[in-house]
Amino acid sequence: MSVLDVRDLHFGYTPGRPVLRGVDLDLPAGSLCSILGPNGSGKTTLLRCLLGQHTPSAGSILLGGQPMQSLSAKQQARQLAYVPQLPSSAFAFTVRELVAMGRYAHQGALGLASSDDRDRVTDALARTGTLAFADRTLGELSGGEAQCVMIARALAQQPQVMLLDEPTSHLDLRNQLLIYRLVRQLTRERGMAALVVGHDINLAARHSDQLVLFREGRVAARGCPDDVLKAPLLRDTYGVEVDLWEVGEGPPLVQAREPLG
Amino acid sequence: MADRSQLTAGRLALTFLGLAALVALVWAGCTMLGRYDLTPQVWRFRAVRVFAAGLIGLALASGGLALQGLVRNPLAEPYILGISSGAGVGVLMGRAMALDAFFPRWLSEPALAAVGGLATCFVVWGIAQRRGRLDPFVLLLAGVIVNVFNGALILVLFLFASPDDIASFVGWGMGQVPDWLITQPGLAWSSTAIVLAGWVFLLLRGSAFNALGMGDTVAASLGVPVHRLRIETFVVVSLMTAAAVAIAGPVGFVGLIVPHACRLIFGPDHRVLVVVAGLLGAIFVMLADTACRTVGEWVGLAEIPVGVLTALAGGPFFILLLRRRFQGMP
Repeated sequence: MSVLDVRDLHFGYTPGRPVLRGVDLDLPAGSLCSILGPNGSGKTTLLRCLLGQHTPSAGSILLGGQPMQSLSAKQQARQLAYVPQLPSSAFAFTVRELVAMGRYAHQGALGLASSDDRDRVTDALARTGTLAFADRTLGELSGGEAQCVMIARALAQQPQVMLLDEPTSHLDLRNQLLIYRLVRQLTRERGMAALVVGHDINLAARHSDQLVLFREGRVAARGCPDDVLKAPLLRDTYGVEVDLWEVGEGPPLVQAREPLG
Repeated sequence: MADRSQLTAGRLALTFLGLAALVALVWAGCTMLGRYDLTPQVWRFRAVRVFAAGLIGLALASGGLALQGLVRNPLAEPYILGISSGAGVGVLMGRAMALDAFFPRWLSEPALAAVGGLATCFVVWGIAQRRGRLDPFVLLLAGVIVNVFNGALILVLFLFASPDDIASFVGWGMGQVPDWLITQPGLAWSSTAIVLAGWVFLLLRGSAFNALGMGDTVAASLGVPVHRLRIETFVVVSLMTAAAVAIAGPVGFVGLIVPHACRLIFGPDHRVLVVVAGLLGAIFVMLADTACRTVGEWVGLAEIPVGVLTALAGGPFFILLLRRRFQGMP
Protein backbone atom coordinates (compact mmCIF):
# COMPACT_ATOMS: atom_id res chain seq x y z
CA MET A 1 0.00 0.00 0.00
CA SER A 2 1.33 3.43 -1.00
CA VAL A 3 1.52 5.97 1.85
CA LEU A 4 2.84 8.79 -0.33
CA ASP A 5 1.74 9.15 -3.92
CA VAL A 6 3.03 11.96 -6.12
CA ARG A 7 1.47 12.30 -9.56
CA ASP A 8 2.66 14.51 -12.43
CA LEU A 9 3.95 17.25 -10.09
CA HIS A 10 4.93 20.58 -11.64
CA PHE A 11 6.44 23.60 -9.88
CA GLY A 12 8.50 26.67 -10.76
CA TYR A 13 9.74 29.62 -8.68
CA THR A 14 9.20 32.01 -11.61
CA PRO A 15 6.68 31.65 -14.44
CA GLY A 16 8.12 30.02 -17.55
CA ARG A 17 11.04 28.45 -15.67
CA PRO A 18 9.82 25.12 -14.29
CA VAL A 19 11.93 23.36 -11.68
CA LEU A 20 9.79 20.23 -11.39
CA ARG A 21 8.39 18.93 -14.70
CA GLY A 22 5.95 16.12 -14.08
CA VAL A 23 7.42 14.17 -11.16
CA ASP A 24 5.86 10.78 -10.31
CA LEU A 25 6.70 8.96 -7.14
CA ASP A 26 5.09 6.42 -4.86
CA LEU A 27 6.27 5.20 -1.52
CA PRO A 28 4.96 1.87 -0.20
CA ALA A 29 4.65 1.47 3.57
CA GLY A 30 7.82 0.12 5.16
CA SER A 31 10.07 1.12 2.26
CA LEU A 32 13.15 3.32 2.07
CA CYS A 33 13.50 5.42 -1.05
CA SER A 34 16.48 7.63 -1.84
CA ILE A 35 16.34 10.56 -4.20
CA LEU A 36 19.61 11.24 -6.00
CA GLY A 37 20.65 13.67 -8.67
CA PRO A 38 22.99 16.55 -9.43
CA ASN A 39 22.74 19.94 -7.72
CA GLY A 40 19.83 21.99 -9.06
CA SER A 41 17.95 18.97 -10.40
CA GLY A 42 14.90 19.66 -8.20
CA LYS A 43 15.40 17.28 -5.25
CA THR A 44 15.12 19.93 -2.54
CA THR A 45 12.27 21.65 -4.36
CA LEU A 46 10.36 18.35 -4.35
CA LEU A 47 11.02 18.03 -0.63
CA ARG A 48 9.65 21.55 -0.07
CA CYS A 49 6.53 20.72 -2.07
CA LEU A 50 6.05 17.59 0.05
CA LEU A 51 6.44 19.71 3.20
CA GLY A 52 3.78 22.12 1.95
CA GLN A 53 6.23 25.03 1.67
CA HIS A 54 5.60 25.36 -2.07
CA THR A 55 2.26 24.98 -3.82
CA PRO A 56 2.62 22.90 -7.00
CA SER A 57 1.35 24.52 -10.20
CA ALA A 58 -0.05 21.15 -11.35
CA GLY A 59 -0.22 17.55 -10.21
CA SER A 60 -1.22 15.96 -6.94
CA ILE A 61 0.29 14.74 -3.66
CA LEU A 62 -1.68 12.08 -1.81
CA LEU A 63 -0.73 11.43 1.79
CA GLY A 64 -2.27 8.25 3.18
CA GLY A 65 -4.67 8.33 0.24
CA GLN A 66 -5.86 11.90 0.93
CA PRO A 67 -4.95 15.04 -1.05
CA MET A 68 -2.34 16.91 1.01
CA GLN A 69 -3.99 20.32 0.60
CA SER A 70 -7.17 18.97 2.23
CA LEU A 71 -5.27 18.21 5.45
CA SER A 72 -4.68 20.76 8.23
CA ALA A 73 -1.12 21.50 9.39
CA LYS A 74 -1.56 19.18 12.39
CA GLN A 75 -3.14 16.40 10.30
CA GLN A 76 -0.18 16.57 7.91
CA ALA A 77 2.26 16.47 10.82
CA ARG A 78 0.63 13.31 12.17
CA GLN A 79 1.43 11.59 8.88
CA LEU A 80 4.62 13.20 7.66
CA ALA A 81 7.77 14.04 9.66
CA TYR A 82 10.90 15.89 8.56
CA VAL A 83 14.55 15.52 9.54
CA PRO A 84 16.69 18.54 8.55
CA GLN A 85 20.23 18.49 7.24
CA LEU A 86 21.63 20.43 10.21
CA PRO A 87 20.03 19.92 13.62
CA SER A 88 19.66 23.22 15.47
CA SER A 89 17.76 24.82 18.30
CA ALA A 90 17.83 28.53 19.11
CA PHE A 91 17.03 27.86 22.77
CA ALA A 92 18.77 25.53 25.22
CA PHE A 93 16.24 22.70 25.26
CA THR A 94 17.31 19.27 26.46
CA VAL A 95 17.22 16.30 24.10
CA ARG A 96 14.09 14.99 25.84
CA GLU A 97 12.35 18.34 25.41
CA LEU A 98 13.28 18.50 21.73
CA VAL A 99 11.97 14.99 21.12
CA ALA A 100 8.80 15.85 23.08
CA MET A 101 8.14 18.63 20.53
CA GLY A 102 7.43 15.82 18.08
CA ARG A 103 4.15 15.37 19.96
CA TYR A 104 2.95 18.91 19.08
CA ALA A 105 0.42 17.69 16.52
CA HIS A 106 -1.04 15.19 19.02
CA GLN A 107 -1.57 17.73 21.83
CA GLY A 108 -4.10 20.42 22.70
CA ALA A 109 -3.67 24.18 22.66
CA LEU A 110 -1.72 24.35 25.94
CA GLY A 111 0.72 21.69 24.71
CA LEU A 112 0.47 19.66 27.90
CA ALA A 113 1.96 16.16 27.70
CA SER A 114 -0.25 13.13 28.43
CA SER A 115 1.16 9.86 29.77
CA ASP A 116 0.89 8.47 26.22
CA ASP A 117 2.98 11.41 24.94
CA ARG A 118 5.63 10.71 27.58
CA ASP A 119 5.70 7.00 26.69
CA ARG A 120 6.08 7.79 22.98
CA VAL A 121 8.94 10.18 23.71
CA THR A 122 10.76 7.65 25.90
CA ASP A 123 10.22 4.98 23.23
CA ALA A 124 11.62 7.26 20.49
CA LEU A 125 14.65 8.11 22.67
CA ALA A 126 15.28 4.45 23.47
CA ARG A 127 14.82 3.27 19.88
CA THR A 128 17.30 5.81 18.50
CA GLY A 129 19.90 5.29 21.23
CA THR A 130 19.52 8.83 22.56
CA LEU A 131 18.04 8.01 25.98
CA ALA A 132 21.51 8.07 27.58
CA PHE A 133 21.91 11.78 26.87
CA ALA A 134 18.26 12.82 27.20
CA ASP A 135 19.19 15.53 29.72
CA ARG A 136 21.89 17.16 27.61
CA THR A 137 21.38 20.00 25.15
CA LEU A 138 21.97 19.74 21.41
CA GLY A 139 25.16 21.82 21.67
CA GLU A 140 26.72 19.18 23.92
CA LEU A 141 26.33 16.39 21.35
CA SER A 142 28.36 15.18 18.38
CA GLY A 143 26.93 15.59 14.85
CA GLY A 144 25.87 11.94 14.71
CA GLU A 145 24.17 12.08 18.10
CA ALA A 146 22.38 15.30 17.19
CA GLN A 147 21.08 13.74 13.97
CA CYS A 148 19.79 10.75 15.96
CA VAL A 149 17.92 13.22 18.18
CA MET A 150 16.24 14.73 15.11
CA ILE A 151 15.24 11.23 13.98
CA ALA A 152 13.89 10.53 17.49
CA ARG A 153 11.88 13.75 17.31
CA ALA A 154 10.47 12.72 13.93
CA LEU A 155 9.72 9.22 15.27
CA ALA A 156 7.78 10.72 18.20
CA GLN A 157 5.40 12.22 15.64
CA GLN A 158 4.29 8.64 14.75
CA PRO A 159 4.38 9.46 11.05
CA GLN A 160 3.61 7.24 8.11
CA VAL A 161 6.34 8.96 6.11
CA MET A 162 9.68 10.39 7.23
CA LEU A 163 11.44 12.88 4.94
CA LEU A 164 15.19 13.25 5.49
CA ASP A 165 17.12 16.07 3.82
CA GLU A 166 20.76 15.04 3.32
CA PRO A 167 20.89 13.59 6.85
CA THR A 168 24.47 12.32 6.57
CA SER A 169 26.10 15.17 4.63
CA HIS A 170 28.16 16.47 7.58
CA LEU A 171 28.81 13.12 9.31
CA ASP A 172 31.84 10.81 9.39
CA LEU A 173 31.81 7.36 7.77
CA ARG A 174 30.69 5.50 10.88
CA ASN A 175 27.85 7.90 11.63
CA GLN A 176 26.71 7.92 7.99
CA LEU A 177 26.34 4.16 8.19
CA LEU A 178 24.65 4.27 11.59
CA ILE A 179 22.06 6.81 10.46
CA TYR A 180 21.15 4.88 7.31
CA ARG A 181 20.93 1.61 9.27
CA LEU A 182 18.75 3.24 11.90
CA VAL A 183 16.34 4.61 9.29
CA ARG A 184 16.34 1.25 7.49
CA GLN A 185 15.47 -0.60 10.73
CA LEU A 186 12.76 1.90 11.67
CA THR A 187 11.00 1.51 8.33
CA ARG A 188 10.96 -2.28 8.71
CA GLU A 189 9.91 -2.30 12.37
CA ARG A 190 7.28 0.43 12.26
CA GLY A 191 5.94 0.02 8.73
CA MET A 192 6.86 3.65 8.10
CA ALA A 193 8.19 4.81 4.73
CA ALA A 194 11.32 6.98 4.50
CA LEU A 195 12.30 9.32 1.68
CA VAL A 196 15.95 10.37 1.85
CA VAL A 197 17.38 13.13 -0.30
CA GLY A 198 21.15 12.74 -0.59
CA HIS A 199 24.29 12.74 -2.66
CA ASP A 200 26.06 9.57 -1.56
CA ILE A 201 25.04 7.09 -4.26
CA ASN A 202 26.78 4.08 -2.72
CA LEU A 203 25.36 4.61 0.75
CA ALA A 204 21.87 5.15 -0.66
CA ALA A 205 22.08 2.12 -2.98
CA ARG A 206 23.18 -0.19 -0.19
CA HIS A 207 20.29 0.70 2.13
CA SER A 208 17.38 1.68 -0.12
CA ASP A 209 14.58 -0.38 -1.62
CA GLN A 210 14.10 2.18 -4.33
CA LEU A 211 16.33 4.80 -5.96
CA VAL A 212 14.92 7.79 -7.80
CA LEU A 213 17.35 9.59 -10.09
CA PHE A 214 16.49 13.24 -10.81
CA ARG A 215 17.62 15.13 -13.89
CA GLU A 216 16.48 18.66 -14.78
CA GLY A 217 13.29 18.42 -12.75
CA ARG A 218 12.26 15.04 -14.10
CA VAL A 219 12.60 11.48 -12.84
CA ALA A 220 15.30 10.06 -15.11
CA ALA A 221 15.10 6.58 -13.59
CA ARG A 222 13.28 4.88 -10.77
CA GLY A 223 13.52 1.36 -9.39
CA CYS A 224 15.62 -0.99 -7.31
CA PRO A 225 19.31 0.02 -6.99
CA ASP A 226 20.54 -2.60 -9.51
CA ASP A 227 18.20 -1.20 -12.16
CA VAL A 228 19.17 2.42 -11.62
CA LEU A 229 22.93 2.10 -11.24
CA LYS A 230 23.81 1.85 -14.93
CA ALA A 231 26.91 3.60 -16.27
CA PRO A 232 25.27 5.35 -19.27
CA LEU A 233 22.38 6.62 -17.12
CA LEU A 234 24.69 7.98 -14.42
CA ARG A 235 26.99 9.52 -17.03
CA ASP A 236 24.10 11.36 -18.71
CA THR A 237 22.64 12.47 -15.39
CA TYR A 238 25.79 13.69 -13.63
CA GLY A 239 27.90 14.57 -16.69
CA VAL A 240 30.73 12.37 -15.50
CA GLU A 241 32.29 9.09 -16.63
CA VAL A 242 31.68 6.41 -13.99
CA ASP A 243 33.04 2.98 -13.21
CA LEU A 244 30.86 0.36 -11.57
CA TRP A 245 32.52 -2.22 -9.35
CA GLU A 246 30.86 -5.44 -8.24
CA VAL A 247 31.77 -5.99 -4.59
CA GLY A 248 30.19 -9.06 -3.00
CA GLU A 249 26.43 -9.08 -2.69
CA GLY A 250 24.31 -6.02 -3.26
CA PRO A 251 24.42 -3.21 -5.80
CA PRO A 252 27.68 -2.24 -7.54
CA LEU A 253 29.93 0.50 -6.17
CA VAL A 254 29.93 3.69 -8.22
CA GLN A 255 33.16 5.58 -8.74
CA ALA A 256 33.32 8.87 -10.64
CA ARG A 257 36.27 8.84 -13.06
CA GLU A 258 36.29 12.02 -15.14
CA PRO A 259 33.93 14.90 -15.87
CA LEU A 260 32.56 15.03 -19.39
CA GLY A 261 33.31 17.94 -21.66
CA MET B 1 15.85 18.79 34.66
CA ALA B 2 15.03 15.38 33.22
CA ASP B 3 11.34 15.95 33.83
CA ARG B 4 11.30 19.58 32.77
CA SER B 5 9.36 18.73 29.61
CA GLN B 6 6.76 16.72 31.51
CA LEU B 7 4.63 19.73 32.07
CA THR B 8 1.28 19.05 33.66
CA ALA B 9 -1.72 21.27 34.18
CA GLY B 10 -1.15 20.96 37.96
CA ARG B 11 2.44 22.21 37.82
CA LEU B 12 1.47 25.06 35.51
CA ALA B 13 -1.40 26.04 37.82
CA LEU B 14 0.91 25.95 40.87
CA THR B 15 3.48 28.15 39.12
CA PHE B 16 0.74 30.58 38.15
CA LEU B 17 -0.79 30.70 41.62
CA GLY B 18 2.58 31.14 43.32
CA LEU B 19 3.56 34.00 41.07
CA ALA B 20 0.10 35.59 41.25
CA ALA B 21 0.41 35.56 45.07
CA LEU B 22 3.80 37.24 44.70
CA VAL B 23 2.29 39.91 42.44
CA ALA B 24 -0.45 40.52 45.02
CA LEU B 25 2.16 40.84 47.78
CA VAL B 26 4.25 43.30 45.79
CA TRP B 27 1.12 45.24 44.83
CA ALA B 28 0.12 45.53 48.49
CA GLY B 29 3.63 46.65 49.46
CA CYS B 30 3.88 49.17 46.65
CA THR B 31 0.54 50.78 47.44
CA MET B 32 1.64 51.35 51.06
CA LEU B 33 5.04 52.87 50.30
CA GLY B 34 5.30 56.63 50.07
CA ARG B 35 5.76 59.84 51.97
CA TYR B 36 2.09 60.76 52.40
CA ASP B 37 -0.29 59.30 54.99
CA LEU B 38 -2.15 56.28 53.69
CA THR B 39 -5.65 57.77 53.61
CA PRO B 40 -8.27 55.82 51.62
CA GLN B 41 -8.03 58.41 48.84
CA VAL B 42 -4.20 58.22 48.64
CA TRP B 43 -4.41 54.43 48.71
CA ARG B 44 -6.93 54.40 45.82
CA PHE B 45 -4.73 56.62 43.68
CA ARG B 46 -1.69 54.51 44.41
CA ALA B 47 -3.57 51.24 43.90
CA VAL B 48 -4.69 52.23 40.41
CA ARG B 49 -1.19 53.45 39.57
CA VAL B 50 0.46 50.24 40.84
CA PHE B 51 -2.12 48.20 38.94
CA ALA B 52 -1.31 50.15 35.77
CA ALA B 53 2.41 49.55 36.32
CA GLY B 54 1.74 45.83 36.68
CA LEU B 55 -0.38 45.78 33.53
CA ILE B 56 2.35 47.57 31.56
CA GLY B 57 5.00 45.17 32.85
CA LEU B 58 2.88 42.15 31.97
CA ALA B 59 2.21 43.42 28.45
CA LEU B 60 5.79 44.38 27.64
CA ALA B 61 7.53 41.37 29.21
CA SER B 62 5.25 38.72 27.71
CA GLY B 63 5.19 40.60 24.39
CA GLY B 64 9.00 40.77 24.34
CA LEU B 65 9.23 37.08 25.12
CA ALA B 66 6.84 36.22 22.27
CA LEU B 67 8.80 38.34 19.78
CA GLN B 68 12.04 36.66 20.86
CA GLY B 69 10.52 33.22 20.34
CA LEU B 70 9.07 34.28 17.03
CA VAL B 71 12.28 35.59 15.48
CA ARG B 72 14.62 33.26 17.44
CA ASN B 73 16.55 36.25 18.76
CA PRO B 74 16.76 37.22 22.45
CA LEU B 75 17.36 40.86 21.49
CA ALA B 76 13.90 41.44 20.00
CA GLU B 77 11.39 43.40 22.09
CA PRO B 78 8.63 45.96 21.40
CA TYR B 79 10.76 49.02 22.28
CA ILE B 80 13.81 48.02 20.23
CA LEU B 81 11.69 47.02 17.23
CA GLY B 82 10.05 50.46 17.26
CA ILE B 83 6.53 49.22 18.09
CA SER B 84 6.44 51.30 21.30
CA SER B 85 7.58 54.51 19.59
CA GLY B 86 5.11 53.88 16.73
CA ALA B 87 2.31 53.56 19.25
CA GLY B 88 3.62 56.75 20.87
CA VAL B 89 3.36 58.64 17.58
CA GLY B 90 -0.26 57.47 17.29
CA VAL B 91 -1.17 58.66 20.80
CA LEU B 92 0.58 62.03 20.45
CA MET B 93 -1.04 62.59 17.08
CA GLY B 94 -4.43 62.09 18.72
CA ARG B 95 -3.53 64.47 21.56
CA ALA B 96 -2.06 67.11 19.23
CA MET B 97 -5.22 66.97 17.14
CA ALA B 98 -7.33 67.09 20.34
CA LEU B 99 -9.25 64.04 19.21
CA ASP B 100 -10.42 63.39 22.78
CA ALA B 101 -12.82 66.28 22.22
CA PHE B 102 -14.66 64.10 19.69
CA PHE B 103 -14.03 60.55 20.90
CA PRO B 104 -13.78 59.14 24.43
CA ARG B 105 -10.19 58.76 25.56
CA TRP B 106 -10.60 55.05 26.37
CA LEU B 107 -11.33 54.49 22.68
CA SER B 108 -9.19 57.06 20.89
CA GLU B 109 -5.85 56.54 22.68
CA PRO B 110 -5.61 52.72 22.53
CA ALA B 111 -6.97 52.81 18.95
CA LEU B 112 -4.44 55.42 17.77
CA ALA B 113 -1.63 53.66 19.63
CA ALA B 114 -2.65 50.41 17.95
CA VAL B 115 -2.64 52.06 14.52
CA GLY B 116 0.83 53.55 15.16
CA GLY B 117 2.21 50.30 16.59
CA LEU B 118 0.79 48.13 13.79
CA ALA B 119 2.00 50.53 11.09
CA THR B 120 5.52 50.45 12.54
CA CYS B 121 5.37 46.70 12.87
CA PHE B 122 4.32 46.42 9.23
CA VAL B 123 7.20 48.66 8.07
CA VAL B 124 9.84 46.84 10.17
CA TRP B 125 8.53 43.45 9.02
CA GLY B 126 8.51 44.65 5.40
CA ILE B 127 12.15 45.73 5.61
CA ALA B 128 13.38 42.58 7.35
CA GLN B 129 11.55 39.84 5.46
CA ARG B 130 12.51 38.33 2.16
CA ARG B 131 10.26 35.71 0.60
CA GLY B 132 8.54 35.23 3.95
CA ARG B 133 11.82 34.64 5.83
CA LEU B 134 12.90 37.10 8.51
CA ASP B 135 16.53 38.07 8.99
CA PRO B 136 16.81 38.68 12.77
CA PHE B 137 19.66 41.20 12.51
CA VAL B 138 18.02 43.17 9.69
CA LEU B 139 14.89 43.16 11.87
CA LEU B 140 16.77 44.76 14.78
CA LEU B 141 18.46 47.27 12.49
CA ALA B 142 15.13 48.15 10.88
CA GLY B 143 13.69 48.63 14.38
CA VAL B 144 16.49 51.00 15.37
CA ILE B 145 16.05 53.07 12.18
CA VAL B 146 12.26 53.22 12.52
CA ASN B 147 12.71 54.23 16.19
CA VAL B 148 14.82 57.21 15.12
CA PHE B 149 12.23 58.12 12.48
CA ASN B 150 9.39 57.89 15.02
CA GLY B 151 11.43 60.05 17.42
CA ALA B 152 11.62 62.72 14.72
CA LEU B 153 7.87 62.47 14.12
CA ILE B 154 7.26 62.98 17.84
CA LEU B 155 9.41 66.13 17.76
CA VAL B 156 7.40 67.41 14.79
CA LEU B 157 4.20 66.82 16.77
CA PHE B 158 5.64 68.93 19.62
CA LEU B 159 5.64 71.89 17.23
CA PHE B 160 1.85 71.74 17.10
CA ALA B 161 1.38 71.47 20.86
CA SER B 162 0.86 74.25 23.38
CA PRO B 163 3.67 74.88 25.95
CA ASP B 164 1.55 73.23 28.69
CA ASP B 165 0.97 70.17 26.58
CA ILE B 166 4.66 69.91 25.71
CA ALA B 167 5.54 69.53 29.40
CA SER B 168 3.12 66.60 29.79
CA PHE B 169 4.16 65.15 26.42
CA VAL B 170 7.83 65.12 27.46
CA GLY B 171 7.09 63.25 30.70
CA TRP B 172 4.85 60.81 28.87
CA GLY B 173 7.43 60.38 26.10
CA MET B 174 9.99 59.20 28.67
CA GLY B 175 7.60 56.51 29.89
CA GLN B 176 5.73 57.54 33.04
CA VAL B 177 3.04 55.58 34.86
CA PRO B 178 0.34 58.24 35.43
CA ASP B 179 -1.54 59.24 38.57
CA TRP B 180 -4.55 60.29 36.51
CA LEU B 181 -5.63 56.81 35.37
CA ILE B 182 -8.16 56.68 38.26
CA THR B 183 -9.98 59.50 36.50
CA GLN B 184 -10.08 57.52 33.23
CA PRO B 185 -11.69 54.17 34.17
CA GLY B 186 -12.66 53.56 30.54
CA LEU B 187 -9.02 53.68 29.44
CA ALA B 188 -8.00 51.43 32.35
CA TRP B 189 -10.64 48.84 31.46
CA SER B 190 -10.01 48.85 27.71
CA SER B 191 -6.23 48.51 28.20
CA THR B 192 -6.69 45.75 30.77
CA ALA B 193 -8.99 43.81 28.43
CA ILE B 194 -6.51 44.07 25.51
CA VAL B 195 -3.49 43.06 27.60
CA LEU B 196 -5.19 40.11 29.29
CA ALA B 197 -6.70 38.81 26.03
CA GLY B 198 -3.28 39.09 24.37
CA TRP B 199 -1.62 37.28 27.27
CA VAL B 200 -4.08 34.37 26.98
CA PHE B 201 -3.42 34.26 23.21
CA LEU B 202 0.34 34.02 23.84
CA LEU B 203 -0.18 31.41 26.55
CA LEU B 204 -1.92 29.19 24.00
CA ARG B 205 1.02 29.56 21.57
CA GLY B 206 3.79 28.57 24.01
CA SER B 207 4.49 25.16 22.47
CA ALA B 208 4.43 26.68 18.95
CA PHE B 209 7.15 29.18 20.03
CA ASN B 210 9.18 26.25 21.37
CA ALA B 211 8.93 24.44 18.02
CA LEU B 212 9.92 27.59 16.12
CA GLY B 213 13.29 27.44 17.91
CA MET B 214 14.22 24.56 15.58
CA GLY B 215 13.63 26.65 12.47
CA ASP B 216 10.63 27.44 10.29
CA THR B 217 10.77 24.24 8.23
CA VAL B 218 10.95 21.90 11.21
CA ALA B 219 8.25 23.87 13.04
CA ALA B 220 5.95 23.67 9.99
CA SER B 221 6.61 19.92 9.73
CA LEU B 222 5.53 19.59 13.38
CA GLY B 223 2.17 21.15 12.53
CA VAL B 224 2.82 24.82 13.42
CA PRO B 225 1.19 27.22 10.92
CA VAL B 226 4.34 29.35 10.89
CA HIS B 227 3.29 32.20 8.62
CA ARG B 228 -0.09 32.66 10.30
CA LEU B 229 1.50 32.46 13.75
CA ARG B 230 3.98 35.23 12.84
CA ILE B 231 1.29 37.59 11.60
CA GLU B 232 -1.07 36.89 14.52
CA THR B 233 1.66 37.28 17.13
CA PHE B 234 3.03 40.50 15.67
CA VAL B 235 -0.50 41.94 15.64
CA VAL B 236 -1.28 40.77 19.20
CA VAL B 237 2.05 42.05 20.61
CA SER B 238 1.52 45.38 18.81
CA LEU B 239 -1.94 45.69 20.41
CA MET B 240 -0.61 44.79 23.87
CA THR B 241 2.21 47.31 23.49
CA ALA B 242 -0.27 49.92 22.25
CA ALA B 243 -2.42 49.39 25.36
CA ALA B 244 0.66 49.91 27.57
CA VAL B 245 1.81 52.98 25.62
CA ALA B 246 -1.66 54.53 25.75
CA ILE B 247 -1.31 54.59 29.55
CA ALA B 248 2.34 55.32 30.21
CA GLY B 249 4.13 56.13 26.97
CA PRO B 250 7.02 54.04 25.67
CA VAL B 251 8.68 52.17 28.57
CA GLY B 252 11.77 50.51 27.16
CA PHE B 253 13.72 47.32 27.74
CA VAL B 254 11.22 45.58 30.07
CA GLY B 255 10.65 43.05 27.29
CA LEU B 256 14.38 42.41 27.13
CA ILE B 257 15.43 42.21 30.79
CA VAL B 258 12.53 40.21 32.22
CA PRO B 259 12.35 37.38 29.63
CA HIS B 260 16.14 36.98 29.81
CA ALA B 261 16.07 36.68 33.60
CA CYS B 262 13.14 34.25 33.35
CA ARG B 263 15.03 32.02 30.88
CA LEU B 264 17.97 31.89 33.30
CA ILE B 265 15.69 30.87 36.18
CA PHE B 266 12.98 28.75 34.53
CA GLY B 267 14.65 27.40 31.37
CA PRO B 268 13.61 27.85 27.73
CA ASP B 269 10.05 26.42 27.74
CA HIS B 270 7.73 29.15 26.41
CA ARG B 271 4.65 27.43 27.90
CA VAL B 272 6.05 28.31 31.34
CA LEU B 273 7.84 31.48 30.28
CA VAL B 274 4.72 33.25 28.97
CA VAL B 275 3.18 32.89 32.44
CA VAL B 276 6.25 33.76 34.52
CA ALA B 277 7.55 36.54 32.26
CA GLY B 278 4.13 38.20 32.36
CA LEU B 279 3.87 38.05 36.14
CA LEU B 280 7.51 38.89 36.85
CA GLY B 281 7.26 41.72 34.30
CA ALA B 282 4.34 43.06 36.33
CA ILE B 283 6.39 42.85 39.55
CA PHE B 284 9.41 44.46 37.88
CA VAL B 285 7.54 47.55 36.66
CA MET B 286 5.54 47.84 39.93
CA LEU B 287 8.78 47.92 41.93
CA ALA B 288 10.56 50.19 39.45
CA ASP B 289 7.69 52.67 39.39
CA THR B 290 7.36 52.63 43.19
CA ALA B 291 11.11 53.33 43.46
CA CYS B 292 10.77 56.22 40.99
CA ARG B 293 7.78 57.67 42.86
CA THR B 294 9.07 57.30 46.42
CA VAL B 295 12.64 58.47 45.75
CA GLY B 296 11.21 61.61 44.15
CA GLU B 297 8.80 62.13 47.07
CA TRP B 298 11.44 61.62 49.76
CA VAL B 299 14.12 63.85 48.32
CA GLY B 300 11.61 66.50 47.37
CA LEU B 301 12.44 66.44 43.67
CA ALA B 302 10.24 65.78 40.66
CA GLU B 303 9.30 62.19 39.99
CA ILE B 304 11.64 60.11 37.85
CA PRO B 305 9.74 58.56 34.90
CA VAL B 306 9.91 54.76 35.13
CA GLY B 307 11.03 54.63 31.48
CA VAL B 308 14.21 56.45 32.45
CA LEU B 309 15.04 53.83 35.07
CA THR B 310 14.31 50.88 32.75
CA ALA B 311 16.37 52.50 29.97
CA LEU B 312 19.29 53.12 32.35
CA ALA B 313 19.22 49.45 33.30
CA GLY B 314 18.22 48.09 29.89
CA GLY B 315 20.68 49.97 27.65
CA PRO B 316 23.85 48.39 29.10
CA PHE B 317 22.01 45.05 29.35
CA PHE B 318 21.20 45.19 25.63
CA ILE B 319 24.86 45.93 24.77
CA LEU B 320 25.95 43.02 26.97
CA LEU B 321 23.57 40.62 25.17
CA LEU B 322 24.61 41.97 21.78
CA ARG B 323 28.30 41.46 22.54
CA ARG B 324 27.64 37.95 23.76
CA ARG B 325 25.72 37.24 20.57
CA PHE B 326 28.57 38.51 18.38
CA GLN B 327 31.12 36.47 20.33
CA GLY B 328 29.30 33.32 19.25
CA MET B 329 29.58 34.29 15.57
CA PRO B 330 32.47 33.43 13.25
